[in-house]
Amino acid sequence: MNLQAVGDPPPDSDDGAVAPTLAAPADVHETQGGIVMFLDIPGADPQSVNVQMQDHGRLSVVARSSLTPPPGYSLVHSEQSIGNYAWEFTVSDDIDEERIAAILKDGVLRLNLPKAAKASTKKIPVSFE
Amino acid sequence: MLSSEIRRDNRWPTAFLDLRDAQGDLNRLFTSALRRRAQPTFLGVSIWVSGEGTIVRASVPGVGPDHLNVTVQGQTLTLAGQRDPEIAEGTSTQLRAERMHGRFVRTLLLPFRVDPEQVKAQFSLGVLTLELPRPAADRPRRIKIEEKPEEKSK
Repeated sequence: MNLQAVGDPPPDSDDGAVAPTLAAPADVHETQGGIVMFLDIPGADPQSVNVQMQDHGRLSVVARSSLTPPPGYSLVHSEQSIGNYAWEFTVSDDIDEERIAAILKDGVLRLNLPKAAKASTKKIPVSFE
Repeated sequence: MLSSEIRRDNRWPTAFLDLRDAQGDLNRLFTSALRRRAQPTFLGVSIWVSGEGTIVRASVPGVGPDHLNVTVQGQTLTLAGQRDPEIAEGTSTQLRAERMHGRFVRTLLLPFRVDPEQVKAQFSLGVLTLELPRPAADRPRRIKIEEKPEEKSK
């Protein structure tokens, strides 16, 4: 499996403002059955999450944080960024695209990418001359 | 500034935290040109204040309310909890490991005392929101200014 995070800018928000792209932390595991990814997307609306498997094993994940500041209060300290989450991975293993599953729980997106069943290994006969 | 009052009381060794901060600085440097912001770290906190009280919002993705422990005492707010590894160690080959696991504690010194009875905590989408109102007796009160009638000159 080959992993490359490519800085592809995601679509901007509807109001035309350029939202920053957040490079949030991710975990990627390879198990016997396939690839399992965990992406931290705190505050992201489940409807805003978009997972797409494209050509050549390119997997793109986009989500948007829906956090809004509380009205009537003034911000005094900030460590949280509000914007788009975006990742792009290149998956080199054969993935069964029909069985890819995405589960959002407590602000963590879990992606299950099961490996496609491979054709049985074929022995190549060697002939002597 | 409030930020200087916030103490980091983590159980991770400080050298590790320094390294993480340095990594964040480097990321910020290299990614700004690409419109990519630095990584929002786990347990990142935002704080808002008003005359009524303060609102604290913390990113704790993957830590359910059952694994969170929030305590308030006087001016001190403590967030503690645990994020367990989703996949047991040794059962997979980890190709990328950027997320933190284990126990965490973070202590914040708030700008004023809060009423522990009135604190409201809400958890949604991996974000913990705390409403911490000031005790009624401590709230700033508007002082009415009386206008004194001008004395007539003799």
